[in-house]
Amino acid sequence: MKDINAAYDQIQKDRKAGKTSYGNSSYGGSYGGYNQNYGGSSYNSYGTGYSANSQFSDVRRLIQQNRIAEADEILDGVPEYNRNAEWYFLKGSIYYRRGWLGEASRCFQRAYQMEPGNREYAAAYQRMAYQQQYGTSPGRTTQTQCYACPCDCCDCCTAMMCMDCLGDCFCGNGC
Amino acid sequence: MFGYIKPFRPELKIREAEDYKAVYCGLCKELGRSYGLFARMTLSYDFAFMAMFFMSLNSEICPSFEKCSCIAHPFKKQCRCLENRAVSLAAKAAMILTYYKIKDDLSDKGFLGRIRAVLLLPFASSARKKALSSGEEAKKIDLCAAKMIEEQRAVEAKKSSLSDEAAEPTAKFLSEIISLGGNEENKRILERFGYLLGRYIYLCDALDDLEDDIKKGNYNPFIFGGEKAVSEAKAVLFMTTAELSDDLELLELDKYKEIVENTICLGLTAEVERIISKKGGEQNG
Repeated sequence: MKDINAAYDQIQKDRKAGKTSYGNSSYGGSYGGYNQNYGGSSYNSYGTGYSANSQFSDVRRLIQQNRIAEADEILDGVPEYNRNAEWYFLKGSIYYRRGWLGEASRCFQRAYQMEPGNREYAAAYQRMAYQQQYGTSPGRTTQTQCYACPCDCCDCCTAMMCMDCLGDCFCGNGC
Repeated sequence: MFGYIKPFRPELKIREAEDYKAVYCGLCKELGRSYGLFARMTLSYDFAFMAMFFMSLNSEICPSFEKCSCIAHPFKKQCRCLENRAVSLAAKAAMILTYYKIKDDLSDKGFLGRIRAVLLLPFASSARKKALSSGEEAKKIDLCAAKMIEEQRAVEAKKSSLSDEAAEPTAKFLSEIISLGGNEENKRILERFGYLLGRYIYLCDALDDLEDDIKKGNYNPFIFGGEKAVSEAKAVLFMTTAELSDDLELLELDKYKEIVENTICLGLTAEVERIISKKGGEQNG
């Protein structure tokens, strides 16, 4: 934790190189915290599969480099009829980074509704839905409320979020 | 500010509660010592938290304590934290913010509010001048506060229905103030932390004032939510507290770690619940 920025860069480098234990798993994204915000390069761990299909790989790259204003400009330039689920997801990621959590959750919800099968969008949406209900992020153990954690719901997405949190612990990020 | 940032008492250890109280008393005394009796009236939980948070971030600030008597508690000697960099920074921020709030009240509060503002302005103005003479930090806070008030006016004139947009000026202000307490290493985290904390304060206040603002026809970002206003406000506030807790985990805290964690991870949500249950009580009674 001494030098978070350096650690962050290192982790991102490792991820790109696919070195992390869950690097090639489709559950790769971490929603852990500040340093791994939505749409960041953690999604590179979705492997070539996802990035190659991405219509907005340039926007993803900008977000990952923290060039939020530029990424937002490109997204805003996309005409209304071309705004697909990924557009909403990335717009949500930008809002999230700016701290506009209300708009972020609306965008993630829209992305999820447009493409319910997409794990990336579902995880982002469900994480925020959890926060809205409990005032804490899924999988946190430092809080008393957290003892009533997601163990009662065993659907795949909750499990996925738990795995994300575990992933965080292993790479020494938020814990 | 408004006193929405406070620890969740039932989960505090007794020694932690005493520490917290000592910092609170220390800030009060410092306000009185440097800025006069008027300043002590502006004491709030928010700035006590700020002082404590700055001490927690900087291991080199080592608070010392003394027993002293206090006007508010004439029969019992209180333990209080002596002045240090964290306490004086919080006091400066409190004074500068108070000045701008009072000045803002001059232009848009009702008749009684304006009289109050006219009476208080000279005190606030001299306190601000005193704070400004203390160095660069205060000047920076002053600039940010002036900018915040201006941006807040613009948002209110625009009657934005986005709570995110309405909260932005306060959020940006606190982002600047909180990052003053850190260093190059934790700057990015502190900026987000401050942003979210400012957002929390603004939105809490908006939720608290909702019925009042509807009655008086004032601007409030949650007005547009209609019947769902309160539940929407709660959702937005809970997302903010969740993100604050996540962000806090990335910070390396020294002393008072438990109190800071208690305040952020438990106190903030408890405060939201309290505001909402107060509303329920009013409606039923």
